[in-house]
Amino acid sequence: MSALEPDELTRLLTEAVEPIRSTPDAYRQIRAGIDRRRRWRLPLLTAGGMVMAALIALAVVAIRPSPPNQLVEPAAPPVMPTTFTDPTRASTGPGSGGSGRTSTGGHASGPGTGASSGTATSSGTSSTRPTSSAIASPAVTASPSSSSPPGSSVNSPPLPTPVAKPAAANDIDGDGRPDDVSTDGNTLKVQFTRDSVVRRVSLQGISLPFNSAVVDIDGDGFGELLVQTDDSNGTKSYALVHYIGLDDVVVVAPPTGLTLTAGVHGNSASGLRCVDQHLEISSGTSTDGTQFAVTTTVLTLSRDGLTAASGAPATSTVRLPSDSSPFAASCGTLS
Amino acid sequence: MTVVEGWRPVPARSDAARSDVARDADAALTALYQEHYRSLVRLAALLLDDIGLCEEVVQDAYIRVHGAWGRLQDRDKALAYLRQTVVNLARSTLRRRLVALKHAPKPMPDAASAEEGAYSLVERAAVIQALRELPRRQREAVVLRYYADMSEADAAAVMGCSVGSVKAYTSRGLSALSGKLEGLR
Repeated sequence: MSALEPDELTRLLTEAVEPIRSTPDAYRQIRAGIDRRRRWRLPLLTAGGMVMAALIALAVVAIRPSPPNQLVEPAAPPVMPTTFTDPTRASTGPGSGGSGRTSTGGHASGPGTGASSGTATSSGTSSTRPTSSAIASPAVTASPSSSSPPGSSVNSPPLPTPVAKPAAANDIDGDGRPDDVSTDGNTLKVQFTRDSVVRRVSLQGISLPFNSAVVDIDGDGFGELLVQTDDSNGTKSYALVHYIGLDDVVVVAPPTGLTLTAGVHGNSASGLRCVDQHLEISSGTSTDGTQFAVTTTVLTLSRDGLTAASGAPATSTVRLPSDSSPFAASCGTLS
Repeated sequence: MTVVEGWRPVPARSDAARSDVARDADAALTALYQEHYRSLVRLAALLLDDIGLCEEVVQDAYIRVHGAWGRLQDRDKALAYLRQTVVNLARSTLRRRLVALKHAPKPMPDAASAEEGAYSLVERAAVIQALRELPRRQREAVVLRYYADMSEADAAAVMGCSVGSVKAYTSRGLSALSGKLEGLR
């Protein structure tokens, strides 16, 4: 068998396809194909562009991060009107038996609405909350924050269940662990160990060095925070920060005519004392600067704020410096 | 898949530039048709076994090259692009037909093949018959080297393989054809 020479193969192939003739309308068919392609090109490009734009828009929506400071407040439990009236409460204060939630926790309620709930609620957020508003009576001296009308606690988040009553040392949120309190200018920062939320509260001023104490005044298992806001003319002023719901605190002011101050200045003096799940505010006047007529008002702390207990304020006489002075801040470690 | 060298993405053009490209493509298409259409159909006829299909493949190749005219880097190589497109389309056609044949119902014993008439033009040539019996790659290598008169490098570029592979395919194809065409010479 002799090998096929390339030239010979070329000749054979050329001869083999020589009879093939192209169809006469081949050029017209090519032109028709080009026109067809051109006709479809624009709609296809348009549709493709729209699909791409839609995909890009979807991708942007899918990967766009949510706003970091967006908070969803836990819904307040429905307000359930009740006809139940505690006869003891009814006899101790005005407005008792009003609307409010059924109190299942140990939160001591005042003569107003009972608004404590023992249901524990946890929040997954770790963001920082803005400044809170205060529950205060009008014309207060120790409440630097803006006031809100009584009863605003209805919209506060429910209280979690405290682990102990009274609260452990420096435990504000009732989880048994001390919470961290710090300052940033005139802003008080409370970091709750329950869910690591930092709550900021604006005060009119904060004395330096920072002087504060966490005291469970009402014995409900949540510590109240007393912060010294001023120190002038021998009188120290304080602000009372009350834990009223999950990650929610407010500045509480005493009733009209009373101040959260301690010290003696000339012939007037004042003091406060935490005793028997109440807050006592003493105010004294003197004519000689040594013998003071003291009026002591007992205040009860509730979600509605500080309210005066029924009955007339106690009066006494104190001679300074021989007698024990009631004109100091005797709450916890406060000095 | 064979990648054509010399193709590149081009930036967006203005309408005027686009119409210039279109006019240029039309003129080039006419010239390429007049000069090379018949030879390309014959090239396709050596790769395929259906004259009708050959014309379709070549026409499709012209349409594609015309559509991509603006993206051609070297327009002097338009014929090479056309050849490569014809080879690629012929391959795709053969692949599609292979799949179709696998799933086609078997014809009646007495029924004549529908393609019989179309084949009649080339069936007489024994060399075509011998070529059809070669494996596809060998057939492509032989046709590109000895009919299209391409160099080994050009054939390798069109086939998408190395020059060494083209040499091997050509050598084996030539040996096989020698045996099959022994009586013809």
